[in-house]
Amino acid sequence: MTQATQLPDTLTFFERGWLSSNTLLAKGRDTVLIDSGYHTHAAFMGNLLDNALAGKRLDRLYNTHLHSDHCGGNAYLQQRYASLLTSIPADGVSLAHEWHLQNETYERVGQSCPAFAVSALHKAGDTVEFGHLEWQVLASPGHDPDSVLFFCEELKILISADALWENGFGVLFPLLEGKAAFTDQESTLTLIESLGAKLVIPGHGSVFSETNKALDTARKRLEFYAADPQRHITHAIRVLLKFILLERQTLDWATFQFEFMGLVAVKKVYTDYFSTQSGEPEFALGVAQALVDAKVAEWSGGLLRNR
Amino acid sequence: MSIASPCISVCKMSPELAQRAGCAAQSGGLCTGCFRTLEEIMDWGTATDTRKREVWLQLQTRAENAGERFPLNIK
Repeated sequence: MTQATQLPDTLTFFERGWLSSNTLLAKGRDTVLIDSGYHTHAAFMGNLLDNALAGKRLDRLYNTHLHSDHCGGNAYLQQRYASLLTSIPADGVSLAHEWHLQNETYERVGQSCPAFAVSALHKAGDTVEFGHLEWQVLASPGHDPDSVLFFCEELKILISADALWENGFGVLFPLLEGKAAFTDQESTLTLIESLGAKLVIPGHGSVFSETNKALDTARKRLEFYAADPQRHITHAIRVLLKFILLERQTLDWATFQFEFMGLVAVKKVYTDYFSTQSGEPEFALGVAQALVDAKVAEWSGGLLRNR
Repeated sequence: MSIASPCISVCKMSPELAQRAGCAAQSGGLCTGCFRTLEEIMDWGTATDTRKREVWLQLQTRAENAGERFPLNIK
């Protein structure tokens, strides 16, 4: 078989937006889904699968990492397909367990994820099979310490999740908690480079084949952020607000001010980096205005509206 | 760069919107966020640039037919 510059017939790629991650459906001996989107889009995910599965059931679900935009649909899919086996990255076990007890991510970053059951684990070094292809599971810390990549050596196809996009990479979340992430992300980019992927299926945005160009872009961003970590923190806080705005589409000032500033991650960043420069309302307004300036939000009748 | 997806993360299909937009034949409806059909959404990830442009061009018309504000940020 030749190396892929387009997806093989056994793989169906659903390009989604920024609230729900992309999803990949593989058909082979059984049907397999990689990531499940955000929970508010669960019914829509059902629409997509009804069409794509044409009466078949869904057998296995793998998560690249346990962020709500990638695994928020897990619970819904488990209800819909009673025999579905759900596999998560091995190191994410404690996190999944916490989600059974409380909705921790909501208080932390303002995102919800309904509790789901875990039936299997995958970890770096494992090989899994889907779509009649073998995939290596590779560690990819940076965006999330437990995130994994799936790589098909035979066709040189990489499922990169949020470690590499066509135009960057996902927020380095450990930084928000005061942990290191730049060197992890750098080593992940080095690993990706060594794979020589001909086709990359990212967690957000389009599939792309110019892997080295994407790696160059990612490295430049990483250098820019690493030179002054506050740049990335500022970016991350804007992403968190945009995510909430994507979910709700509009935010009134009170909700925005109190809920957003009440989030553990936002509060910590404000306290660690910005509290000496501005008061809370001023800081919050600055984050909103940055989205407006970037044309990804607008003020409309006193509301902050998604655009 | 690839052509941007029209998705604004609303992701909800409405047969009623398809009626109003003059796409009654679309039994699966139109997405209330991006005005695409389910097929257009499913095919987007592997569609050619020509096809993507075709879809983009129809969205504004559908929104206008339906009497809706076109929310998309065309760059």
